[in-house]
Amino acid sequence: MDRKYTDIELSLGCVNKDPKFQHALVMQYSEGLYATAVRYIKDTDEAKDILQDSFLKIFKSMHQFDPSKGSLSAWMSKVVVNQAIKYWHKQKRQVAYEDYLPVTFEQPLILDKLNSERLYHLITTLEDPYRMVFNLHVIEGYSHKEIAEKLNVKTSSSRSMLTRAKSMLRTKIARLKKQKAWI
Amino acid sequence: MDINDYKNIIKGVKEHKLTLDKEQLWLDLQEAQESPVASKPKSNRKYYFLSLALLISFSTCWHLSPDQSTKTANHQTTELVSKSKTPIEQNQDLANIVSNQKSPQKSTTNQAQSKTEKELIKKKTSQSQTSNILVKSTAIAKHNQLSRPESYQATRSSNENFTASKTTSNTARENPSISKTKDAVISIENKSKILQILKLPWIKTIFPLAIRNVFFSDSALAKAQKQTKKEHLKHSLSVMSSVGSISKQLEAKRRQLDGYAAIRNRTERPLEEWSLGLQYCYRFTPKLKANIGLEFSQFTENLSFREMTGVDSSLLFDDEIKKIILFADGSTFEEFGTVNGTAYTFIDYNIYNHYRSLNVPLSVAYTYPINRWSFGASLGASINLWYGFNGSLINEQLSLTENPDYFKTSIGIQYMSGLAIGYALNERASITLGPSLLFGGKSITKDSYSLSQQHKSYRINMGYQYSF
Repeated sequence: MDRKYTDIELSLGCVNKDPKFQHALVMQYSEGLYATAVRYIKDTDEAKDILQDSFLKIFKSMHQFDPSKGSLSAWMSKVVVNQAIKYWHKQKRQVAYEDYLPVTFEQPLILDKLNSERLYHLITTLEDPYRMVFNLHVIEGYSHKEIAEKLNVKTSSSRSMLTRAKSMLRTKIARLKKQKAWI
Repeated sequence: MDINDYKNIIKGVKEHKLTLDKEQLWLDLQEAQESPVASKPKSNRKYYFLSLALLISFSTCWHLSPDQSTKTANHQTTELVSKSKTPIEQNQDLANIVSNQKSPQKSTTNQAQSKTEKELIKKKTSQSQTSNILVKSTAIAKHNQLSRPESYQATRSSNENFTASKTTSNTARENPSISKTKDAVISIENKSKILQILKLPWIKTIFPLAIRNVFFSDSALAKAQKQTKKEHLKHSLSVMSSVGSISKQLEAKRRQLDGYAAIRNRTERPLEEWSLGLQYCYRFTPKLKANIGLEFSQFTENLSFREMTGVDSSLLFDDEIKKIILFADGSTFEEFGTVNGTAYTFIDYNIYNHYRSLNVPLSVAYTYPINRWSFGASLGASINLWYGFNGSLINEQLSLTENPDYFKTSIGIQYMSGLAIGYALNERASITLGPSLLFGGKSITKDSYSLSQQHKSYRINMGYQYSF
């Protein structure tokens, strides 16, 4: 079994372009990062492409990683998220956000008996722009202003899309409960 | 569910893992690292756009610089004209020539008249079977009929560029409470700096890196904003080109030669200017910088006039129409006899003169960056190292001289000012566009020549800048 390296060891090794540490980095973090990529881009093949591009970028810019600002996995996760957003823009997946009717009221998201795995799969079932906004705001913790900049939308659109995403999730959970698939 | 549960679920989503063929991914990564260009589908839009801009720029330069023979007799005709219908004044002085040039309509009327008469003569010749032309003498009258009544001014100049990169001062990350982790950070930073220095052999990296970053890599664009905030790139190299127009001031040094200066002004029409050069820029601060460069510039002017020469002024035309009487009912009476006439030769000259120079532009520029854009102004001077003329000019005796020795080989300093808009393509590369003006300086003609000549240059500069 491969030895598990620390973040510092891995980052130094990758800065030195040492294949041993690059390999270890891939082995250690690729599954988590792949899950992040899938959370943004539903298609698994596309998510793998994003993951590959992300790793190339990570190898190239490892010297920018600052351990005092956060963990290596969080930094790499950000790289994957940015890469996914870039990919999403390239694929021209922007939709006319204004076409989606804004939700004028908001209810708290029902999270009873909800675990992380269920939530993960529910998120991946959301439609494109809503999934992006939900991921960025709820999971990654970006503000609406930051999301607006990343997705080239208005801040108000980001807010309404988040509300809509939550509403969709509530509907999905309610439907699952009705089907008694929710234990 | 309390807030901690909620946070745990979110954390769980964040740390969720999916199974993946890691070894396959590693193999793919190795392959992609070996051929980094092939690994990514690159967007060629920027490449096409910039290539198109450069192509237009260069083709404009070439198109605007007609490399024709400097002395061209485009049109040469000999006409026989009845002397009684088109009187030609011989031995005209300078003042008369100038006054004739001021009224080009008059000469046009004369030409029209001549053509009508020529047709009448031909008609009559065909009627009478016995036409006989006697050539008696060969008195030649030279008459330069100048066809460009407008006056123009000309100039020469240099260019200027501005940076488009957005830079801010470096932020110190050091903290007195250095822990073990901090030591590692410093170590990583030091290593990264060494690596950056190792990458720096700019001869090796400047073009591939610049081209990759500018034309292909979208990720570089996103990187640009973050990177430029951290770095203050002090040096840059630019490839500059410009196209523009010129204005020429041609003045007589003695009052007696005002007429000659007027003829020169009316026959010479400045066309356009282009330049191409390299420029080095040093930034004192992110906003203030100094530029020095080396550029080649050329401007073209068109010398256009018609020379009409009376080849024979004492021709006798036998049995030609001498007089036509027109009656009220429309009928005519034509009286035939012997008339005098002159044969004329017309030569249209259309010459392109080229003024070339090698300049060293020096300037100080202030730029104000706004996001990826930057707006700047510059002031400076252009030192002229070499000056050359290729073409023909009308001399003081009103004849054409090829490559006259009127010009100095070096003309000193011209002042320049300009504005520019820059756009940062990435953290190192930027493109600039803006107008500039070159003015002042000494006359480009020698002190011994009777006219002084100065130029002003109005340019549109385009540049590609790479910072390091």
